[in-house]
Amino acid sequence: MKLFRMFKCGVRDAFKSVYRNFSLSIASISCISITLLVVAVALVLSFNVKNFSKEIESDVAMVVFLNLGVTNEEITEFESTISNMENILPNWEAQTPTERKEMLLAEDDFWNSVGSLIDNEEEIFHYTYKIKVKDINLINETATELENLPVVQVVNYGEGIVEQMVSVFDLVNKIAFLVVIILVIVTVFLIVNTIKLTIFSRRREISIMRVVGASNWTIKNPFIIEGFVIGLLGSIVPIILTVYGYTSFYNSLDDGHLFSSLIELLPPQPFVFFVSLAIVVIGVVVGMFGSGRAVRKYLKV
Amino acid sequence: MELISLKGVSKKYKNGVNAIYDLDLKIKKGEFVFIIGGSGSGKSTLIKMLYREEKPTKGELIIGGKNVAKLRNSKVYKLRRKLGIVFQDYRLLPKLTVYENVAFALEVIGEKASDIRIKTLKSLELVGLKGKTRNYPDELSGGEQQRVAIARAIVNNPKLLICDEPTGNLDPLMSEEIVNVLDDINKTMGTTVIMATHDRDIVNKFKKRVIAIKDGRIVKDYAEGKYDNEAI
Ligand SMILES: Nc1ncnc2c1ncn2[C@@H]1O[C@H](COP(=O)(O)OP(=O)(O)OP(=O)(O)O)[C@@H](O)[C@H]1O
Ligand SMILES: [Mg+2]
Repeated sequence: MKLFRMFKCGVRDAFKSVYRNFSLSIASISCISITLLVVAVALVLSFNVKNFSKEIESDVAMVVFLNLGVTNEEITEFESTISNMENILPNWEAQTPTERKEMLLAEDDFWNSVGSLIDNEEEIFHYTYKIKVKDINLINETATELENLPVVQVVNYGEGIVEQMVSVFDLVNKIAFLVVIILVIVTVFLIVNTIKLTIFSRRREISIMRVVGASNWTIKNPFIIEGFVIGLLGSIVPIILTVYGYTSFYNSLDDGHLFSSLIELLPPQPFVFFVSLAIVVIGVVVGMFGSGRAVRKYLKV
Repeated sequence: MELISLKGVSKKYKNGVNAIYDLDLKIKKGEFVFIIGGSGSGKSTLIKMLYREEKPTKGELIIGGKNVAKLRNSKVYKLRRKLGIVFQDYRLLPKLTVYENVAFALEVIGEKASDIRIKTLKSLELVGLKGKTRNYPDELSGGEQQRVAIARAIVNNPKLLICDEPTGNLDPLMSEEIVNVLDDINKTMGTTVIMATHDRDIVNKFKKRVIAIKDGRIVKDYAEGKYDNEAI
């Protein structure tokens, strides 16, 4: 009960103090807001990329064309090679030239019109393999490795757009992470200075508290709470933008499909709430970390 | 019974100044003691060690059975709750009323709201300021401000009241008034009072125990004292 009352007083004082150091508080709050906005973008991207990377991995396959007229020994050797490759899933499928001819005849008008003229399939149709990879980000390396095998003529995979998007998003994510770290450092610096001002403006009060025997916790508490309040206020705008921004973006898409039916965004509910929660927690933690540093530095006991 | 006992206490500041040198001193419960000495003699240093603002560099400083010299920084507040401290410059909060200034001392140590009211009013009555509870410090005379500071110092019923030149900023009449209040507290509540001063008239008038310090050593200890030239 007593604790609660002290906390309540602390929160009230913290708001007052934020108001008193208005310009510096606004700077801290803006900085933490920008940081959290970048965090939100990074989170949205990262979770969506993870999500559709997973989908793509099950959908995208490479097709490996072996040389025309390969021998059975070469085929066995090739199969044992790909079984040993790190990034290749074991569920690859082989297609003999005959099977390939039939498949193409069935689904393509051009082949349908000329197919009947072909007698010796082995001279026109390749022995092919449908291969899936474990890590979509390494698909280029795996394809090159396969192409370097003498028995392989060519490797086809994807249209490229999906893989490119994945790697672009991955890059964006890495940049966002870097930007977040820099922004957190700047934010902590600003908060330390905001709290420092508050500490200095209340020096007299603090010295009297010490003299009459207030516990260290009682003296430090209001400043830690001020950091908490700064973090809390700073997370309001990013949360609103995330919730409304993501929801309306999602709604403007056709069933959440971006560019192609391969990429499906996460539905806003409950996703935006997890992101909002993460934003508040990060905001408050950064705020309290900043105030904690200021207290340790400028409020020695 | 001794409330305070110093054995071989020395204080050397970081800049090399030896402010207190090998001091032995005993003060009994309920005593009223003047500590006198010229400027720079070490009075404030001694006082600061009593409330553990400064730590002795050597020796044993026992208050109420506890060795304050060994007290950790994080535990100092426990000692302070048993002490009242009064300074030359009052140290009141200008934006709080007289009542709030005194109540502040109880609020920050987490007293119950109902107790705060009773204790604050009682304390203000004791220093004769019951009629000025709603005034702000800048509406009071120096003597009245110092009485608010005394009320704040005794509001939690301390066993020991420590004053560092409480009359230093006051004219002779107000000074006498303040020491009268301290004397009163000493007599009615049994609070041990230690007061550093270099006000001759006050010391000579009140006839208390006088401890004279010079260059960080005790040079005189009169049971019923006077401020003579020898002492300085
Ligand atoms: N914080 C400090 N750091 C270094 N030296 C100090 C410090 N405080 C006091 N001194 C030195 O210690 C000596 C004793 O000072 P102290 O303040 O105890 O004297 P005092 O008797 O209270 O003097 P006054 O009557 O002027 O208040 C002086 O030489 C002073 O310069
Ligand atoms: Mg002094």
